[in-house]
Amino acid sequence: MIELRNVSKYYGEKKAVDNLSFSVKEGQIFGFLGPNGAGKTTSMKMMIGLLRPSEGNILLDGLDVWKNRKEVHQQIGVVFENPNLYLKSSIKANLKLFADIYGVKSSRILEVMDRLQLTDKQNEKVGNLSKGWRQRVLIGRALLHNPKILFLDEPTSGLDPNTTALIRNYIKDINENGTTIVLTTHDMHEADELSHYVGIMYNGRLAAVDTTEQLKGKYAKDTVYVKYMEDNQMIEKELPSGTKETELFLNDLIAKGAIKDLRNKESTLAEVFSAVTGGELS
Amino acid sequence: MKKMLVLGKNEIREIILSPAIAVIILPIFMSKVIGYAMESAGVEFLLLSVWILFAEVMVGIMLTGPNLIEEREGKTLDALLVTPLNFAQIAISKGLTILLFSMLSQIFVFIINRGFDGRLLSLLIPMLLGGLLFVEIGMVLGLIVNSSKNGSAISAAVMVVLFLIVSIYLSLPEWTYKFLVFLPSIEVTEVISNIMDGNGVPVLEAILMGAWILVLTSWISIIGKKRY
Repeated sequence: MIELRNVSKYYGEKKAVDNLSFSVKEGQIFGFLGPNGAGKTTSMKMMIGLLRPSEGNILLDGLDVWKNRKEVHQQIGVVFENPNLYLKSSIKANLKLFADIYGVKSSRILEVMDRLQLTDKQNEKVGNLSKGWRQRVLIGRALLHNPKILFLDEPTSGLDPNTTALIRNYIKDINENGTTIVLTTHDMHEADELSHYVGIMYNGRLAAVDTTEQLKGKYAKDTVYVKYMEDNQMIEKELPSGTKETELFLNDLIAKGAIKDLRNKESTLAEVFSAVTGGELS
Repeated sequence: MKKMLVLGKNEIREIILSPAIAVIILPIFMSKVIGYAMESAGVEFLLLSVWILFAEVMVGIMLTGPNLIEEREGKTLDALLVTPLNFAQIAISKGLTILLFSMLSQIFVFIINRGFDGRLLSLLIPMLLGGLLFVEIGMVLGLIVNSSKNGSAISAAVMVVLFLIVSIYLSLPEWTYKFLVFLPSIEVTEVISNIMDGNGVPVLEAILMGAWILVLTSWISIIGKKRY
């Protein structure tokens, strides 16, 4: 559906994005991860046709994104990190403007407002809304024309836990209804929870790209956490899961009746990210 | 075209809802109040053509520049650019909407000072071209200045310089006109005042005005193509 072929972006001498190649298949949620300044937003801007790649090209259903921006923009929806809405206008006026630009019927505005529970607040000025509500309006605006692909840039950044959960549920729901999603985030839990496929950017390069499961298998391992008594001392250990040594060690502890706590710890995307980026956090 | 009208309608609502609406009304009242005060004092300081210019400069520069910077800063421009609209369509619809406000302001300046005088009809085209010229200056400022703080300051400075020079150029030595004629505000004032006085259109000033419009249109188009 989207294909990036050897895409690079220079700002003067500085290479912000370096030889990026990957593809996003239809129906996927593709998580685009990376620390701040890794090149995620620049890459996304190129994918949505706001920036021209210095090298390489980006295709959407075979169409070059930069050369066919008008056609591409009919097929994509974008939720920007900044709540870029008309603050002096109401929710409804904001949605109506974009609905009219896309040539969408008024009934669709009502449908979108209903889906995002915006109907009761439709006449409120956007400038008076909290960040969470503005985020819903942004998602609503991006969905008005039923885009094939939805791009979300840090959709839950700075939101409270309840709104974050709500927005994540919307994202899952939108995807289940057939929309392909490209999600840019530096929140590992979000990427882990939502993404089918993940690309990790680091220093402008794509350091890793695969399914979350494959990445976890490659860069991080499940472990076993054990807490046991030895020589009247409480000891805690984390052992690699599924190895012969671990099995023997645990059997020995079980035989001695020394185990106080024993748990499986699944590997996380945060561990993958840490391994890929050499431990640099965003 | 329909999409541009939609955007223009939104632009009108945004301007009406914001304090910027004062920029449109101010020249109308100032021309009347100051004109009345001058008349009472027996001095003719600022001619009607200068007040029409004031409306053009004020609305064109002070509305277009800061408005465009606000859209760039607030990233609403990005939101529009990922719709089927392109930069040229956005710029034209924004420019034409502000030009409409500029025309309204200029026409009201004329009517409030002279009533429904037949000369207004002969001034419509110069008013339109003068209004366009200053909207374009505002647009260039809106595209090259990087923050609203700087944008308002620079727009105000440009506006003051362009307007003030017109209020004094007649009292400067004659030879200075050779240089001052290259300023858009001088050209616009000369064209309007000559038409109002029944002297026809001054050729040099009209050509220079046209040249400015062409240069500014090309400049906006180049910035747009390079950036968007």
